[in-house]
Amino acid sequence: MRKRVRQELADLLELPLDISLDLPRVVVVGDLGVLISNHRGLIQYSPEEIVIGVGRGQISISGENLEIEEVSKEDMAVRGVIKSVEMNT
Amino acid sequence: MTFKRIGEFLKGYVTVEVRGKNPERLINLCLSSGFPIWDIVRHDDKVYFSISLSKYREIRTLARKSRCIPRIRKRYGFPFFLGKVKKRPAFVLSSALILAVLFYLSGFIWVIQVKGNDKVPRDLILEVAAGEGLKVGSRKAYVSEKSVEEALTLKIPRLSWAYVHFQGTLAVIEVVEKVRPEMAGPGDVIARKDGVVDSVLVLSGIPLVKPGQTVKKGEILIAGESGGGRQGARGNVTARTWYEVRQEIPLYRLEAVRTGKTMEITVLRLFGREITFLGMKRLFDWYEMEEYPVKAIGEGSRGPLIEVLTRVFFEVKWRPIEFSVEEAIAIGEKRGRQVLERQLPSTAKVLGVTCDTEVHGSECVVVRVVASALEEIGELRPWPEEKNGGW
Repeated sequence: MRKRVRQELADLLELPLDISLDLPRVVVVGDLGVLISNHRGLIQYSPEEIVIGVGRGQISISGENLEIEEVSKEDMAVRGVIKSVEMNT
Repeated sequence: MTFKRIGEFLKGYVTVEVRGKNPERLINLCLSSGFPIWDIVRHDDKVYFSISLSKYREIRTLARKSRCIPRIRKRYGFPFFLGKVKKRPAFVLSSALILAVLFYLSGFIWVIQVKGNDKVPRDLILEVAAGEGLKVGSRKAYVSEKSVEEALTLKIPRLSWAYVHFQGTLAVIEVVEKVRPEMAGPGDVIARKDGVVDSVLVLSGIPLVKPGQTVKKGEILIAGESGGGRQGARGNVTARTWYEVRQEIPLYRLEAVRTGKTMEITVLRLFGREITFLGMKRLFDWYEMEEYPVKAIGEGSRGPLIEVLTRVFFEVKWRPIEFSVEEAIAIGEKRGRQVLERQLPSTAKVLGVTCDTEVHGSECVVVRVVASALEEIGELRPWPEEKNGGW
């Protein structure tokens, strides 16, 4: 219920949803890399799969030779051969 | 090392190997503590990542919390380099010494280059420069470019300009030599040819002739003052001069007349060489020749490559044709004037032309064309070397 109110408010004020609703923003660069903003930390990491916690659930990236190029409190950059990016809410 | 890592490189960073059951937790702990980490790679059960040196000390407690064992695998950056240097004082000292020696030696002149001299010998320039301190092995700081330049232009009068500059350990002396006009050295003004002096203009020296005086070729017109001043003579001497041309014109001339006898041969010309066939080889004593091409094949640089042509010889006899005396005189005068025109220098001003003729019986006419002109006859004859002071 609270979520819906916030979403409606954000729509009304035309605010970006990722900021107002604390959602992740995912940028996929071809099959070379994924940039995730507003993440909540690393849940699982292996060269084949990376699971990242986000505001409402998890994002799992699968591929080959996955590396975390850079990670800070807000952003995470994943490099490697990206096969799929999945959102589990 | 990428560009954005330069800052990290200066501060120093390490690649950490983490063993443990839950390295993800360590990473998350680092993140929540605000330690940026990068280049996270997993190999089997070990995770490697890079973290800046100052933060590494703090992750030990975090590692204990996440039950991981961190170990430094590689060290990068300036602080580690400094550490290495501190261990090798001899290395630092010797490199500093080399730099100092290099700096000291670069203050010397090692090579001198001379540019722009053509007639002035290089050794002379170097000698004068050495007199002012500019020589191989002297220190640049003690050499004044300006005084070397001044000495060069003062002591070598044949130089009009000098410029000294340094390029590292190379000293460059650039000079420009004086260019004398193409003029003979000091001497006397002598007569180039016979004539009657019309006017004398003396710029320097002592005039020895007066207007109206007849002079011979080679006579001194204006003498230079060879005494103390060694001042050469300069001046213009105009004189009336005469040019004479004789033309002998015979009263007849020979003209070739064809007798009517002809001979025809065929010639094959191959690459410029001629092969004569079809026809006699013996020719007339005097003949005129005409050629008619028959066939030409190919095109070469000097006409066709293969050519067939017919050559016709016409026998001729010489027949004298007589002139009248007037005709002969007119021809002689015309030719005489043409020859005279070629003889007269372009600077001479022609005052008048006279013709006289002699008739030698019925044989020939001799025409004599004489032109009188006003021209400059003065010519500078330089004194022998010892007299003009080695100019």
